[in-house]
Amino acid sequence: MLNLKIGKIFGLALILLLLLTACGQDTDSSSGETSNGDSTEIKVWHYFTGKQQTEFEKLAEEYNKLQDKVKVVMEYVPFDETKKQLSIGVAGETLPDIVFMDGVDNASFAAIGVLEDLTDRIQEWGQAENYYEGPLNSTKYNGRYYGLPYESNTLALFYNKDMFEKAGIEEPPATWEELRETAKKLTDNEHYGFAISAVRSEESTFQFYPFLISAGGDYQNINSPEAVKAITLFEDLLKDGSMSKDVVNATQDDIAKQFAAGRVAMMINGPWNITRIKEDAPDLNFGIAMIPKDVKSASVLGGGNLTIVKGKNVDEAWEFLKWLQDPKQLEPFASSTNIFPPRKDVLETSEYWKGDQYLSEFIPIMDVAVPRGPSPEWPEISSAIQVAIQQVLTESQSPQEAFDEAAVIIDSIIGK
Amino acid sequence: MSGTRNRIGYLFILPAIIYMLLLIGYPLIYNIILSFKDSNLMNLATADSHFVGWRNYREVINSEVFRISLKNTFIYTVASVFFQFVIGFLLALFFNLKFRLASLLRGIVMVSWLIPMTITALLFKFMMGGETGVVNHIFLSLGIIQQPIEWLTNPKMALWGVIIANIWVGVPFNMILLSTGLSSLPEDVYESASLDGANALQKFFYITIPLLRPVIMVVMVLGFIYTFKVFDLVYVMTGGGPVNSTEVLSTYAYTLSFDHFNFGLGAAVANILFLILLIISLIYLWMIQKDEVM
Repeated sequence: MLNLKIGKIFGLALILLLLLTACGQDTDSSSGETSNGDSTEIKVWHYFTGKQQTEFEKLAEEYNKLQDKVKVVMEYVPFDETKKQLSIGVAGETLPDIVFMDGVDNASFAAIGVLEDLTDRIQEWGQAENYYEGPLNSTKYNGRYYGLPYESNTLALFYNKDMFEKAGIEEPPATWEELRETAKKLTDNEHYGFAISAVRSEESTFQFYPFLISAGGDYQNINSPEAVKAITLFEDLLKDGSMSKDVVNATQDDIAKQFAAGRVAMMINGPWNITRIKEDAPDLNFGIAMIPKDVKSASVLGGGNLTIVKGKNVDEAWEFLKWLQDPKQLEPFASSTNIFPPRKDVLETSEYWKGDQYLSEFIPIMDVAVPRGPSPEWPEISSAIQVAIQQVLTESQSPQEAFDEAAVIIDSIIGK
Repeated sequence: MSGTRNRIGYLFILPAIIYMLLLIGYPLIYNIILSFKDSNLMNLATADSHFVGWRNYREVINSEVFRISLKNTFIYTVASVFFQFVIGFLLALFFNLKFRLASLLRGIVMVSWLIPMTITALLFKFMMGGETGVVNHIFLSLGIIQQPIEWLTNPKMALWGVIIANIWVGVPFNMILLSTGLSSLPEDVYESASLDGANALQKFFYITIPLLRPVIMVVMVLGFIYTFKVFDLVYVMTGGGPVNSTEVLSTYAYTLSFDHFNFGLGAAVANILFLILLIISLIYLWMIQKDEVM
């Protein structure tokens, strides 16, 4: 009796599937006929969501109205999916013309050879000096440019002003020693002085990077005394009790929630979480400052680059890319969506970022922010760093041991 | 005559065979081929990935993370299946008492099986938070523990945190199958056992268990296969961390393929996972056959 029923259900499902695939093919062929033969179609993949998505897609409509040579078609591919879709696209030869991708992946895809070398075009265009060095460098592979930065962000120290006032602290900490002291003072039974995200994903490498650079370390020598000193700071904060052990499972969004709830006095986070904090806690009195430094002030760069796929409609795609990067388009897009334009001439002349009490604090940080890598093997390198960070923060291994292990892995990846 | 009838018969199952070949056979074979190739993002575009023999398998088997994930997968599966079965059986026996509301309560217990795995994983991640989690809060206020348990942040504890979540997910599946099995057992055997003076415990061990053997086997094997290939629960709750303490075969295969883009290595791990499950299924089929012969 039961078997019969299941059989029926499967039968129905199969018929449905066949019908659906048949219909699918039908619509495919008909849409092929209706597409206009005169204009070239430029397909763009992007991972913007929410307001950013609507604003970005509006730009395509606007561009399509301005001229009739090309028709720009936007397609949303979720952030986590982008790399996967690209790798499938490479295998199946179904790549779009323009891809908006995480800056840290730019070098990898340049190395595979799917991206167009834009160096000569950028030189001819003559606008390269208007860009921040960090974002522009994230498009580099073997000294050539394989894209243009479009959206940039960086990490900063967020601090709860009310909690500072209550503890009698006037200034946010500027050095690592001050950070330890301040975090300790702000910690009690219900509050933690400090939080970072140390989850096993790119986020923990991202959060660790400012400290690594500040100490004078780099990823190629991850077991250098400087790098070990940086992770020892995290270990010390944990041992002091100023930081929760939960950080190994906390994403950047998670710690932003803790910060908004007033349970954490200081955290490392980026500008994209400002809106979220304001929504969660409209009355929270917080400020933004440079990340405390060791040898030099530093931060890490995040964000996305616009790249052009090789061997397709490169010239048309480049025209559209230049149009998007024009301050006339870039400024309204970036300001209406709370992101940072990678162009100095936009960020420094516009009133929008300077006038905002939170965003303005990020402007000087942008100057000291460096991209991760860039390396075509970044995912594997980052993975080794993530494990090492977690080994230290779960007290499974000492900083030196954990980073020695990571160094062995990284050396074998970069072929040192 | 019977020959043509047979051929017509094959025609009828043709759609099913095509369906299986396309959707199950093709990916399976593709994956096996992939695992013998040096295939990564670098040579995907140029299509010059070449065969490397057993190199991917050798590399995988020699890697420490693979050994950890193999061990974790077995601990995870055996512990989950064992506790799911015991708790599921006890609940099935309880609901088999046919008291009022029994079927309603049984329906409610099913809820944990109906919730999408990702949501369950997020809920447990939230509940098992070290300092903020509700589980620790309850345990602390009841005085069961003095220090908060680091469910998911301590590498020694994290695997058990995930196992507990999975037990909660799997209990209803065990319960409902065993419960159906129990209700189909013939009443008269029990009656005659009562007449012979058997007590409840004897009835359970000498009647219920032997009669229920086929159902128990199905539950165990399906549970094993279902648990062995776990992905979503672990991926959402811990992502394989902290360090590698909750890395299982499926998450490791995913990391290799879609984080490191080393498709050959990822395919090798996936095939090892498949091979283990294939062996389990064959043992199961063999056991069923033996049963039928008897």
